[in-house]
Amino acid sequence: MRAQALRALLVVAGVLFGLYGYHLLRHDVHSSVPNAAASIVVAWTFLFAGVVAWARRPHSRVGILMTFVAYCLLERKLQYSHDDAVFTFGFLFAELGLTVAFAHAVLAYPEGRLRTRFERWFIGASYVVVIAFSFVLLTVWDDPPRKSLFAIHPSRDAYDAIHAVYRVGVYGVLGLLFIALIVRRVRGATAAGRRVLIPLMVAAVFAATRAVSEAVLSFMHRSGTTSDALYWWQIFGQIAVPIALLVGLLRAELARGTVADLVVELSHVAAGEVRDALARALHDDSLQVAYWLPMRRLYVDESGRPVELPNDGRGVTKLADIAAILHDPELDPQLVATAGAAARLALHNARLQADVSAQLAKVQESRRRIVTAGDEQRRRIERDLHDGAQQRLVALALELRIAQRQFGEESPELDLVLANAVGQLQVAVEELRELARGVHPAVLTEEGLAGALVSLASRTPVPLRIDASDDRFPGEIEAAAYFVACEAIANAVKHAHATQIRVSAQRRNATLVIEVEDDGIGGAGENGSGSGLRGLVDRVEAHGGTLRIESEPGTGTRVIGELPCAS
Amino acid sequence: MGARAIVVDDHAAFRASARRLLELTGYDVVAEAGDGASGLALVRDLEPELVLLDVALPDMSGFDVADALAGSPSTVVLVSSRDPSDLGRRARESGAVGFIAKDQLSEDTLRRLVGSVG
Repeated sequence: MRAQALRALLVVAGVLFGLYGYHLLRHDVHSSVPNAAASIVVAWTFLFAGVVAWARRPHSRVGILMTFVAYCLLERKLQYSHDDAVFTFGFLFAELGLTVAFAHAVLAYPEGRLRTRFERWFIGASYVVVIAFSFVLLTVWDDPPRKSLFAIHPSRDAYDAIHAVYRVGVYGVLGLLFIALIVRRVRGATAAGRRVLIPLMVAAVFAATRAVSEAVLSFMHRSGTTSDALYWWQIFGQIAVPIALLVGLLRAELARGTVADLVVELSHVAAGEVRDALARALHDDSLQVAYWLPMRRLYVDESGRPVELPNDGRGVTKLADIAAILHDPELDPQLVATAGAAARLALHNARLQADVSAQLAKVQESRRRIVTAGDEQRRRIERDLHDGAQQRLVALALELRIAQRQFGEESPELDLVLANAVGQLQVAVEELRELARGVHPAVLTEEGLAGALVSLASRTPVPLRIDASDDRFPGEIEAAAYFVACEAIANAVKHAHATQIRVSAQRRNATLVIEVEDDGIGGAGENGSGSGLRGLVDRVEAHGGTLRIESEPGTGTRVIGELPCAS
Repeated sequence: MGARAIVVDDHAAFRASARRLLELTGYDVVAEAGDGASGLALVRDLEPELVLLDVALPDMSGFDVADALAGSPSTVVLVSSRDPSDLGRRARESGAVGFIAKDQLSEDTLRRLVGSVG
């Protein structure tokens, strides 16, 4: 209520101030009616646009800044007063409205705050430079009947020289910097952001023409027609900019209407589509949603993968305890927050889903680690069997053979005993080898899947055709594929009475596809042959793969394992 | 004096047994090595008629040693406590004259593979 009263007061005061300014223009410097009126209309446009923006978008300070520009423009008229004190005060701040206050309001659009340190530095320095130049000009002021209270060394020549430097410095250099800052923002924005930045583009066009006209043409002879044309062009621009800023701010408010559509849409979208619905509602294809998991104290995406909130200039709007919306920085944060609030329930559901996905990803990773650790353990057991028991047994067999060679001829009974012992030892060695193969075949480590399958084929009593890539795959993937083939072949031989088996192991894109096909009786599962393979499903799925068994009775059996592998 | 032989294996017990078997078979075991690099150096220095070479050596594969000795006058026989089918294609394609599983190593299998000692 206090703000509303303040705004009403500012409007009334601004109107009266404008009328006084019009009086000064008409009677003290004899300005023409159209010129005097246009000059006041510019200030009033800023005033009304500013007050409306302030009332409708109180969280954005652009309205206040536009009102400030309006008062600077009105204050400027005081420099035409013949009263020395009023003139000095008016002149000292006369340039703010058309230069730095104007740039401040434009660059602060739409939130009402300057975004970067450079922008803050630029605007701060510009305020100082503009006021300092005006003060210096007042010290050499020599244009009766108006007199400067700060006059130290009145000199028309000195005034003209300093004023020329001022025009090049402020309108030229600072003007170009202002345009460059706008161009940078427009270039860095998405399509949605550029729509929001239209008022800045309008301001840039007028600032550019002003920079050219003031900084360059001031050194050239100007005809009255040229001056008039430029004057009215500038008036048009000075009116267009506040209107564009107001329309831009109000359009963001109108965009809130799309939030109502969002609420309707969210009532029937799946949790995984909330991001798309928000992106559509806010017209920002780059929009992302990061869900907050309070137990793990981190943000994740829809799939449960951890997400770092960016600090590279992208807009981040946090919705307490649920999610953060990452969006085009030019989007109005209030609008984004409103859309987020409308989507709160849907986002909450999506967060639960993301949480479950994150937990599943952890379980999957843990499952993969367990299987991989198991494989590593099996490899170690196989090596230990080979280096330990197997070596001792073969050395013992060799010793017994030597004893048999040395003493067997002297005693046929001893020869028989030693021959039996060697025979038993060979059986033990063969059993140990079989055990070691079942744990983890060494050839798989040495030569990969293709070599291991060839070795397997040499021990299979049924003709086995192998079509395997010589590529190497990660050890745990080769092991999973090998054990799938082992189990499928064992089933084909033991249960399906196959007479021919075909094994294929090929890389397809980033997947190792292992396929075992036999011409047996089929019906795996009915004859009990599928149970071992089902046990391997866990191993395959632990690596993110799939295992399928096609086995209609009478049509043979086809086992297809697909295992993701790095290409 | 029989043909000279070298035993290359990282298990000392097996080397001792293999030495006795080779000597019974008529070979003169002139050196033993516990790893591939030492074995290669000894074979190149002594140029024995027979090299009994284990597949699994601590520093390199016996297949690599056999490949390095391809073209040398020495006859290389690979031995392993594993079955040949467990060793894959390198056992079939290596530069060795043959392969004997360690539990099958005897005077007969050796003679069958490399013939009588001259």
